[in-house]
Amino acid sequence: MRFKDIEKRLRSEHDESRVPDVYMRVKKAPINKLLEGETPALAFQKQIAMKLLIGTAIIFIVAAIAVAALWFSKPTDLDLPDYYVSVTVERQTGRTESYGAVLREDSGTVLITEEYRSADMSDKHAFTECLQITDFILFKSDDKVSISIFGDARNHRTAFLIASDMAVRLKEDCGAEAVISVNDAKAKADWATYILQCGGKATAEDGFWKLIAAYLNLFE
Amino acid sequence: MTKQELDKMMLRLQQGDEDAFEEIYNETKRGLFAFILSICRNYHTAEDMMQTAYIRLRTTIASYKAGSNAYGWLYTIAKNATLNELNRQKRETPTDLEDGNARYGSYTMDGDGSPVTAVMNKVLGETERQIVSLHVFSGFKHREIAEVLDKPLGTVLWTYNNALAKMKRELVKEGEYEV
Repeated sequence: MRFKDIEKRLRSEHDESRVPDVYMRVKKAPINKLLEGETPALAFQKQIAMKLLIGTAIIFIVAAIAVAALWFSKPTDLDLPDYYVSVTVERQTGRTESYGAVLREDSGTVLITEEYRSADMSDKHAFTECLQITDFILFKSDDKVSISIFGDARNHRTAFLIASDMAVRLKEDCGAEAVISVNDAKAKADWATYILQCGGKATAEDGFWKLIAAYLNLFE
Repeated sequence: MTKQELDKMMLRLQQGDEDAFEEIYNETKRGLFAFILSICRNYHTAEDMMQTAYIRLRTTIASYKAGSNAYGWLYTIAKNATLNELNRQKRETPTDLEDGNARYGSYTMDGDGSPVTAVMNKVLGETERQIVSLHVFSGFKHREIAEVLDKPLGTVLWTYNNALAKMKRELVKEGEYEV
């Protein structure tokens, strides 16, 4: 046996040995910036700063998406109600009374906003809460009632169901018949005119969210 | 990679060529790791020291002089880093260094598949291991080893031959080789 044999065997074993890949390890670690001549403290500070930056960016993006989603669904105010309801009652005596209410779909709450429709805002009730419109307005069986409900065009079917429910409740509780309409163009024009009379800014061409915002501004 | 080629790589790295570092690393990692392991004899410490050596290479590359012995320069960095680490460990955890069983870690060269390497680690002293490692694994000439280890050439030559003779005796004794 010669020394050359030992060297050959050693070399062969060495070539088959496993060598750790510290370069990859360093690349993944925060200390990797040391390779670029940074001090350890700065390398770690930079990594922490980068993590904070990424975290902040993610929070910002999520918040932006959430705000954008809310903006597109309810562009004026996060607390806007979902529907506006105009109730007109023709009494047997010939007197006609108009009431306004807003509805929140999530809570099912009715908020009476106009006791009587009048351009004089002092006559209005702002947000008298009740569960059903019959809790606030006294109906008689011989009253002729019309219910106009306004909502976002995408919620047309729900608006119709709410109006129908009101009509049924009116019939059962008071025996009064009610005619319902949903997003009726003429009623909408009347609503816009009423807002204008009260000092608000509205046109019949405005979308629901613009009208409801202008309407609610009357009570502020 | 020849010494001249490594020298060119070092100069490229000095000029900020990121690819040069990766090439240097890939060409030298195997030999450098074996050398560091021959000093510290602990796989995990060797891994850390290898990392430290390459970091120091990057941070001190500005001081590299064109035409100097690039291999010698890198190995000297590795040797100094490893010896410093061993001294630090000795001060902080003296029992770790005295525990011979724990020193090799899981290094495969020391396992069943590497009987000659196992004999090398078993019978050779630290300086002998370094010299054999540099010559056999890294392809250093004896003169270059003398430079890196800061020893006279005659000492390196004598130590190397003596180391191989010790290994030969042990290998014959273990039946790895016939006389």
